[in-house]
Formats: sequence, C-alpha cells, structure tokens
Amino acid sequence: MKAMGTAFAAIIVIAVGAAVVLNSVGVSSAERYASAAVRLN
Amino acid sequence: MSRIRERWRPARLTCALLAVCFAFALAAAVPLLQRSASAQTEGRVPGNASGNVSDAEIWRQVRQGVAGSITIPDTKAAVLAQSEGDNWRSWRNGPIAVVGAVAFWVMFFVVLSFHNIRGPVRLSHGRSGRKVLRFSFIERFAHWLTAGSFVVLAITGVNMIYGRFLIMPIIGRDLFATLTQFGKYIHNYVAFAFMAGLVLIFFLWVRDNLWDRYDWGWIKKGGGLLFKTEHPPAAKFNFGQKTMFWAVIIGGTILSLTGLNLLFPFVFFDMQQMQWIQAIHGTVSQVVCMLMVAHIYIGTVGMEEAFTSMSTGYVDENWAKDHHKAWLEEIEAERAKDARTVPAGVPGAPAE
Repeated sequence: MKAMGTAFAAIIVIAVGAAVVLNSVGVSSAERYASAAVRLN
Repeated sequence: MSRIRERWRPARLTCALLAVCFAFALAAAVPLLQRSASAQTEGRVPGNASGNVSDAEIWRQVRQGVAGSITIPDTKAAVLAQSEGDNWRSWRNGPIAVVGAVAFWVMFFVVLSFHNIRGPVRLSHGRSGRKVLRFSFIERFAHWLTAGSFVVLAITGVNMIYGRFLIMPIIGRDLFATLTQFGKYIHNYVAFAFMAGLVLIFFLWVRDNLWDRYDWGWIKKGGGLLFKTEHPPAAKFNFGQKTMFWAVIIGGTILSLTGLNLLFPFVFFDMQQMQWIQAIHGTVSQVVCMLMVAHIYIGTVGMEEAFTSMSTGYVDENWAKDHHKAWLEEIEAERAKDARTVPAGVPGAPAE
C-alpha cells in the first residue's frame, strides 16, 4: 500500500506544482486578453 | 333661396379650400408612398438614425458570424454571435450527456448481472501460500498515479456536465458555483498527474501489451471468464488486460491532448475548433469512464487475489497459474537466480 500512498501524495504535489507554475507564467485569460485599456476582472 | 346660399357660402368656400388642400397633399404623398413601398420590398427602411438597412438583414449577418471592429486584445470579441456554438451546446447537453449516462449505467448493470450470474472469479485450487512478485513498486506507483488522478478528474468532470441537473437543485446555486469552480481548478491541475502516470505506464508496460501467441486462444475461450472452465494461458497480460491498456493509452492520450487545448484555449485552434475539441474530450472521457467500471470491478470484487497484485505487488502462485500461466513459467525459470519469491507462511510480502 506504500506505492498507493506515495502515488496519491505525488498527485497532490504535481497538482500544486502545476498550479504554482501556471499561475506564475501568466497564461490566464485575464492576462492574455487584457491591455492597459481593458481590465477583465 | 339666395339668402340660404349666402348663409352657406363660407362653408362651401371652406370645403372647397379643404378639397384643394387634400388634393395637393394626395398629389405630394403618392410618390412618397410609392418610394417607401419600393424600399421595403428591397429590405430597406427610411430613416437616418438606424441606417437604411433592415434589422432582419443586420441580425442575419450577426447570426452568420460577421465580425465588427474592436480595440481590445481579444480579437474573438469582434464576433457578436457564433452560431456554431448552438450546435456544440446541443451536442454537449444532448448526446454526450444523455448517451454517456445511459452507457455508463448499462455497463454498470452488465457488470452487476455478471457478478450475480457468474459470480466472482475464484482461485481454481485455493491459495498455495507461495507468493510471486507481479508488480514492482514503480509499476504500482504508476498505476495508482494514473488511477487516483483519473478518479479525481472523472468526479470533477462529471460534475461539469451533470452537476447543474443533479447537485445544484440540492445544494443551491451559490454553493454549487463555488464547488464547481474549485473542482474546475482541481481538474486543471490534477490533469498533469494523470498525464505523468500515463507516460509512466506506457513505457513500463508497452512491451508486455503487444500481441503474442497466447492472445488468440484467450479470445476463443472468452478469457475463461464467461464460463467456469479452465483459464486460457497468458503471459504477463492477457488480451482483456491488453485491450484495457490500449484503451487507456489511446483514450488518455486523446483526453490529454484535447485537455491541454482546453487548458490553453485558442493557442492552436479557433472558437469552432475549440468546441469540437471539447466535444471530443467529453465523448472520450465518457467511454473511458464506462470501461473503468469493468476494470475496477474485475480488479476488486470481481476476481479473487486481483487487488493484492496492485496493493502489495504479490499474488498467490495458484492465481498466477490460473490466469497467467505462461508468465509464471517465465518467472519459475528465473526463480533460481532471482529472489522474487517469498517463502510460504511469511505474512504479507516485502513489497517495498
């Protein structure tokens, strides 16, 4: 069962890592489609 | 008589004056009426405020996706109405939702019927007490990485299609909106764990999932699952497991590629193509969910000893003899030089 527990922990780590990376690279709709004159929030 | 005429003279003059005015007005109005009627037959209406094109023509062009002029970075916003979206919405809320749900429950009742009629697949000769390592730590890790993330993706994905019909009436709009938004974020980020698991299981198991000489015999005997007869021999994976493997690899790859396009929208595809991407993503996910019902059943209550292969990594030697005889023979041939076996009587197994 250690493999199962490790895998489930890895899912959380990968998901949190993905969230941090994606939020830091600026690919959200608000950032891609906004300009100085347009705010999408 | 002349007095009477004299009395009505102003009235006659007034009537004559009115008649002349009416005649002039009529003469002036006839060309105007003719021009207006002509303009309407050409789809034009008078007036400068709203232009001289009829509303019907304007809205026809809007429905056909005519683009206007905008100054914001999102150029898609220039299109006021994208009518292909109606087709996508009807596909998503129609066949994908309805057929997907029906297919899932049909599979569920097929499995339930199999369980009630055929019963779980038991060991032919009971447990031997000798254990054989079937899956290493990394193999089990890869399986649970894929399986665990898939379950999360399935639950959050199913909520996106059916939640508003099943859950929202119970918990209310506000709570449902919050949960669904949170679930969407989870869906987006857990997807990367699923993709990692998919890559791992592909490289770990692809060699054992190619067609081999045992597969045709397995197919002819229905895998020994339908009737309580002798199980056909198989290598590490039988044809049924290979089918599941390739369904997961192909289905998972399609889900990953379409999912990435949904996660980074409009990078490679336009609006209509994105709708196709979403329809493919939803359809394939329903198919994979349906297959997983059978996989989870046979891997848990449907087959004795099957779950231990993925929990501890070890299976009883008699189980291997029943279901994967060719694979066991390979293991036995290596037994002398490979310390894969655990002596009988040892509780559990040193899986890790």
